[in-house]
Amino acid sequence: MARDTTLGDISQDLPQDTALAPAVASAAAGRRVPRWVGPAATVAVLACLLFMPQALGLGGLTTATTVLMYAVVALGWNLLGGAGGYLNFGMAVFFGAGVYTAAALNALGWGLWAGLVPAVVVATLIAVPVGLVTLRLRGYFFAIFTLVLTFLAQIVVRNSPWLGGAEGLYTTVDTTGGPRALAATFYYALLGLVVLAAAVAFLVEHSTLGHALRAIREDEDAAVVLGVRTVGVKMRALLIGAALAGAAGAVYAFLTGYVEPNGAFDVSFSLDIVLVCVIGGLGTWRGPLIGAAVVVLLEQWLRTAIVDLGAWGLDIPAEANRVVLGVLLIVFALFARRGIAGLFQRRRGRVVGV
Amino acid sequence: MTAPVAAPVIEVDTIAKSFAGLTAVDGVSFAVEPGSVVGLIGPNGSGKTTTLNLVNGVHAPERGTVRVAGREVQGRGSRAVVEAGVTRTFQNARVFSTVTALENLMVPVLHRPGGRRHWQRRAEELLAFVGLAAHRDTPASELSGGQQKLLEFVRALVTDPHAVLMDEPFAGVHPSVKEVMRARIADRNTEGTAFVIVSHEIPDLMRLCSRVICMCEGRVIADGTPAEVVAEPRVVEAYLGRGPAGRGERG
Ligand SMILES: Nc1ncnc2c1ncn2[C@@H]1O[C@H](COP(=O)(O)OP(=O)(O)OP(=O)(O)O)[C@@H](O)[C@H]1O
Ligand SMILES: [Mg+2]
Repeated sequence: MARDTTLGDISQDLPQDTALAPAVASAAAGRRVPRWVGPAATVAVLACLLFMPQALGLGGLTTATTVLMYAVVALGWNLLGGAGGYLNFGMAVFFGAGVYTAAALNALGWGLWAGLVPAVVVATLIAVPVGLVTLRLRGYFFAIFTLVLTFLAQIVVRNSPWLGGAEGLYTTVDTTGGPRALAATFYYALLGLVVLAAAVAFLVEHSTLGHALRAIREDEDAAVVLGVRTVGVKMRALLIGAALAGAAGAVYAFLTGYVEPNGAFDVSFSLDIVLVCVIGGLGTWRGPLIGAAVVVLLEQWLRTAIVDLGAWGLDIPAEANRVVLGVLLIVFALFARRGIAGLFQRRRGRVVGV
Repeated sequence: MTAPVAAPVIEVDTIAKSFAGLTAVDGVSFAVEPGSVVGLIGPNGSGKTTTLNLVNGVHAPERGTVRVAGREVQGRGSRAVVEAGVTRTFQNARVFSTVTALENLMVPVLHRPGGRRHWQRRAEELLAFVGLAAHRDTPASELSGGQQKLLEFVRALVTDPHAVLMDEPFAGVHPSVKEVMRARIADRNTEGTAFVIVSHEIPDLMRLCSRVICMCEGRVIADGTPAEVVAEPRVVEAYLGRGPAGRGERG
């Protein structure tokens, strides 16, 4: 360690600042996509999505609906998880709260649209105590605590007779239009939520809340020293995410027709949401959209692929697809930390080593 | 009629802090008058950064008081200190590297009234003030080490504080950047902002400060004008003699 020996020692400077500046400027100016491409692509994708129910068969439509559902929850997760750097492994708690609220109200005669708002409210209200307890924890402690919450929610619901206990609840929907019309209803409901969630994510990303979240992810202590009310900022991100998850849960309650504790509060769903964001891109509104499509399609493909391999005499358990997804998570965490969305974006990296 | 006597911006009274039995700061007292520049020197491990941490609310002192603009703030956390009008920089620049230079300056004003446009204009002025206007939209990670120090400096100015605590603003930067830093600190000071500057770059410090405090082993061993402090035998001994031997050299 260098130690001062004289009063006038100023010899520790390196002439790094001026020499490297042009290199930085040219690296930053690299290949850039014209401004109109982004909005144009968004409109084109949205138009395609609007006509999906006409173009796809019932199976395809169900898959597309699942993609949208994952996208809504992942967009919600990405605010605190991606921008804020707080790995929440308990998204299923808020999703499940929405599922159960909608299902319980359905038993009283409430339909899908009527149940949506209460589901959002309940999921958000549950997020308040969760946030007050967990958001003072950092790093691993936060992650582990949120993981435990999912099991806690299962236990609570299983022991609540008015929520159907372990038997669960059935939901009923108007099926007069036939299965296709019903599938299209769920699809459009979730498409609406995706558009809303993406808009919210975009706005947060470009607001002071977004900057504060990124500041917290990078150096929470410095953010505190600068006067940021970090718990409040994280709480806002958590609540918005919980609200979106609750809304998606309400739709899911009607989509499945039958809800039970293990299905509504599913740890592997929480993990999938994290995976969606890591693969798609942490902290950007595009990431969860890309990631949801990749993860859902991959999961489905793997499931059939594993069955096919079984036909060749190879006995592979169905859970093997989780191994593949797990490996994918590690690969992205190690080699593509900004996800698929990051591959298309201007590099924002450490050009100059300090 | 008598002119109103301005209270000190910062008043530190016999504060102490120890870490696992090692007394890092041991009964330090000083006051910072409005608009003054106070230098804080001392060998490595003498407790300078810890003193800033105590003033700034990162640590709560085990005893003693810290007053900012007359209000006691010890034990109330950094936010109380920031809101009372004292901000800081760090020994190693702690900018938020994935957000842009401009966005870095928006972080301290997150909860302040006034509207985003107002603060953005203010932030742009400050970037221009230290010659970073062209880097407005550059992620801070793409700035050089010296530019990051300048960015951190203006980030501490966004909220128009009464006083800024600066930990080693001149360490590890090119002489040209150092000159910008020194000149801008002087500019702000003529506008009335007080500074407490920790530095090992004694000549740079002497040009800025009206007063220098020298610490050794957690205590103030000299407090006076630069000339007085440099002439103080204990200061010379602290720097040339024993130095920090046996203290603070962990790891
Ligand atoms: N968070 C901490 N935990 C444990 N010990 C600490 C902590 N912070 C400081 N110390 C100890 O307190 C003593 C004073 O450290 P401090 O950082 O205040 O010195 P300094 O005067 O700023 O030194 P330098 O010139 O090297 O920056 C050192 O012995 C250091 O090891
Ligand atoms: Mg120090």
